Amino acid sequence: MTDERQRFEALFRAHYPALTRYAVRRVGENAAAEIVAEAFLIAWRRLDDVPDEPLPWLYGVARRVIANERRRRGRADRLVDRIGGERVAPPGDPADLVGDRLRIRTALDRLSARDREVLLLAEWERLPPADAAQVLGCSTATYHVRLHRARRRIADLLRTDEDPAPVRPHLLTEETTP
Amino acid sequence: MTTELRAADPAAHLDPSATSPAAEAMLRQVLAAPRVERRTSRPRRRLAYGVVAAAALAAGTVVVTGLPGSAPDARAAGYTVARHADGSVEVDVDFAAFSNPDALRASLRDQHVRAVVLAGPDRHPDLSRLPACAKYRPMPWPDDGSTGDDPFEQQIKGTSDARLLLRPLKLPADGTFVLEIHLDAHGRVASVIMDVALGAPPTCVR
Repeated sequence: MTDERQRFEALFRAHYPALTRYAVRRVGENAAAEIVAEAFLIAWRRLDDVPDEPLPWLYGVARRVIANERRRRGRADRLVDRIGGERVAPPGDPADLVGDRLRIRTALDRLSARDREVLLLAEWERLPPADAAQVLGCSTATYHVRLHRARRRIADLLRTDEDPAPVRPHLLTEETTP
Repeated sequence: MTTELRAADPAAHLDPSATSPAAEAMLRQVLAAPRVERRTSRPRRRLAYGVVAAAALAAGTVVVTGLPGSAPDARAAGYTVARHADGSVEVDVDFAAFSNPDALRASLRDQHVRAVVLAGPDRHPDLSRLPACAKYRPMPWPDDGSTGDDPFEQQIKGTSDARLLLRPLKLPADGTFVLEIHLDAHGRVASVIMDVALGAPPTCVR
């Protein structure tokens, strides 16, 4: 086995679980494998560019793959219609989507894509600020500002949203700018 | 707030294994794909463009390519343009080798395709960031792939290659193809995005 193949296999084994979770959180379990495979394919093709700390780089690649895929297939709502019934967090038990979880999911979906991604990187991926900033392509200082604002906005939404609308099956939507 | 957010994590219950049969199959599939070797030397045009790209990165702006005259050797510039018998035009971009958006624009012009080619930094990978001055009205996208009646099809093949199939005959009379070429921090192509602008292209992208 060549050095490149050994290096890539080590990369794959180390980060497959985290990258899979990242994808599941954003596109659901059914579509996650496609995103993960594409991200690792890019990593393989650009192995020379993969940094020593690869996870933020991989997250950034996966984020771009998801954006490309959404763009290619159309806007997120059309993708939802096409794949039907997909959701970011398909619960094993509908009871999982009650109470606080329902409120949080609804509030997350109402955030802008930028605010949502900042929050997810911080709270679900639990990335250190410098790594999250790398994923987003911004400075750590900018990341802190964005995170602060995103937390404030979701807190505002949760405060004002006493009676959230039922969550229909859907992907967390990307913002579109015609 | 943090506790609530983390409790809502849809992947909290997941423990994906990198040694599962699905993961092993994915690994084999990826390793079977050819790698793109880093090039140790770049043609002069690439170097010249790198300066432009670096300036664009510094300025955080989109570079609007000019019209350099007749297209140079397209394959050497990291792309191919080919017209099919049905009038469609296929554009294949090799991300690792692509170096000259001006040449691509000239090649499309030679094929009588109305197109603008934009190149700029890939700072905001969530796309949908056509220049604000353009006020584009993107064409509707099909719900499930191309119907054959769309002005273009785009296939992403990783960030190493992109295949675009343009159908100039399907382009609205006032339409213009818009190719966005997003560059990474090293001035290399990160992604290619396609759209159609309706109405006269604004001066900022002509």
